[in-house]
Amino acid sequence: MIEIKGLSFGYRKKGKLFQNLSLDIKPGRISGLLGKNGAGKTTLLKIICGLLFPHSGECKVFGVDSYRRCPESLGEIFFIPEEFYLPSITPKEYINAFAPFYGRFDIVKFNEYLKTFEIPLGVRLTSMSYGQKKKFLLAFGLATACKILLLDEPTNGLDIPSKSQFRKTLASAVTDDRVILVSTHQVRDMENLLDSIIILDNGEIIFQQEMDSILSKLSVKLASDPSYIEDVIYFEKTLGGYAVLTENRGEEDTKIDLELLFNAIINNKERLYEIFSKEVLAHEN
Amino acid sequence: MKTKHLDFLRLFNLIKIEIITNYRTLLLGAGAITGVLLFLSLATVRSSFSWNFHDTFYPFVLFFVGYIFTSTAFKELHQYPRNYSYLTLPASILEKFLTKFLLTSAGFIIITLIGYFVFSILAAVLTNLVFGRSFPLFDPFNSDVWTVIKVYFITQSIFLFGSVYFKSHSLLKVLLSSFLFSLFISLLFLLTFKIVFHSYSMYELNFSVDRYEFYQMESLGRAIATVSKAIFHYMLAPYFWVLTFLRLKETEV
Repeated sequence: MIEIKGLSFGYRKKGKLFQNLSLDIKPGRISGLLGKNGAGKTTLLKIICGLLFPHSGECKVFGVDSYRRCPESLGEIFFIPEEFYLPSITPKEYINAFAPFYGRFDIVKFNEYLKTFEIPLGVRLTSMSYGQKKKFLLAFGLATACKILLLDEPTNGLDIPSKSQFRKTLASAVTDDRVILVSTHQVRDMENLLDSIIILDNGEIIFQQEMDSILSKLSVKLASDPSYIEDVIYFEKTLGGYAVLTENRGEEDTKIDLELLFNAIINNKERLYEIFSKEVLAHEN
Repeated sequence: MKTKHLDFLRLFNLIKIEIITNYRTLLLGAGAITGVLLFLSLATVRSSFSWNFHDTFYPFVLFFVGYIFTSTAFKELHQYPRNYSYLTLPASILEKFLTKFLLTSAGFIIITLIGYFVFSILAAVLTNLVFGRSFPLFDPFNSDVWTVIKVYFITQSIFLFGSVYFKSHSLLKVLLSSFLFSLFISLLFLLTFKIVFHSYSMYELNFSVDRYEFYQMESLGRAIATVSKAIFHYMLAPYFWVLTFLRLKETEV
């Protein structure tokens, strides 16, 4: 659905960001795109939806180069950026103007989402709070039934109940033919929601794994002293001890702390490559 | 009609977006212009100028308002994050270009013709009620009006390109660029003139040109004028339309 091969891209002032980057995103799951600030997460999303053009290599969406911005591909992509624009019109006017561009737009579902998110209908979009606007756009994006949903920092600006509503709604929107790619720093907001993880660092995909595979190969333990634990990959001091990421040898049923996993990958990726050696999709030339 | 790059339904929907999202601003602008024109018509009705009122103010409205309107045509391309939603809207580059082109050229011309005609009726009624004087009606079918429209149709293409090319103050930048270009052409002609007539002094009384040379130069001058006219009438607008389309196609955020 989204195929990126040998992609190179950079900004004029900042130099090369991606060099020979390759990535294949399959449908039917929610993928989390994680990375440090400036790793290129938003840039990658922009390239996928044709807002930026690759300098070399290719980025194909449904087999078509994304930079061509052909209406058929764009009709299957809905991008919700961290900062977004909504015109000074009512939700009804917005639907009247923008929904016709999405052939499978479902007005019934849209109204359901609006009800779930408690979005007022009578006010202009510009009069809504940032969180309400974001939820409105998310409701619209889900109702378009686009096969690719790109979300950049979707939980930023949402209050606590809204984050929970967001997670439930997004989880219910997963279908076998849909790619949901979420770029975020707020990994705690995404826990239990992501089906696969893609980690971007220094312009490279350094880790791409399904959550099932991660859970079967890694486990998190709490310990007062990590030196007593075998197969330690990475540990961090927490309240009352250490959170330790270890290799899961006994097929333990465990929950993964995404923040710990992310830090482990950034700090000890070689060890993780060894563990995932048969499956790791580390695209290093 | 539906092809890969042009679907009339999508084109219609794009025009609908423009109307839905901008009609409040447009109505406000139209109201303000009508108000000013009504005031001016009342102020001038006692003078003889009132009979030339439309010859002055229709071109003013068409060019002044039209250029401002055209210069803001692609404003969403340069406004972050508005450009995200505009560029990812499922429509082709050709359709996006045609929407802006149609609205700022034919659409604007039709609206000003109708709007100005309605204003002239209002002005005629009002001046008659207030001062008991008659005020001329605007004739949209007058040949002078269509000459003005033709010039607007051609020249607005430059402002349309300016709106896609310049990130800010496109109207001023287009005017400045046009001024610099005219200056360059004038200097070029001046230089040519100097080279051709270098042997003659400005104050020389027995200024004479060989008759054969004169005829040759006259025909050259006529040829230059014909070519210039042809370029203006038939090539200038299409050239800027193509440039606008290409610039839109290669725009990134």
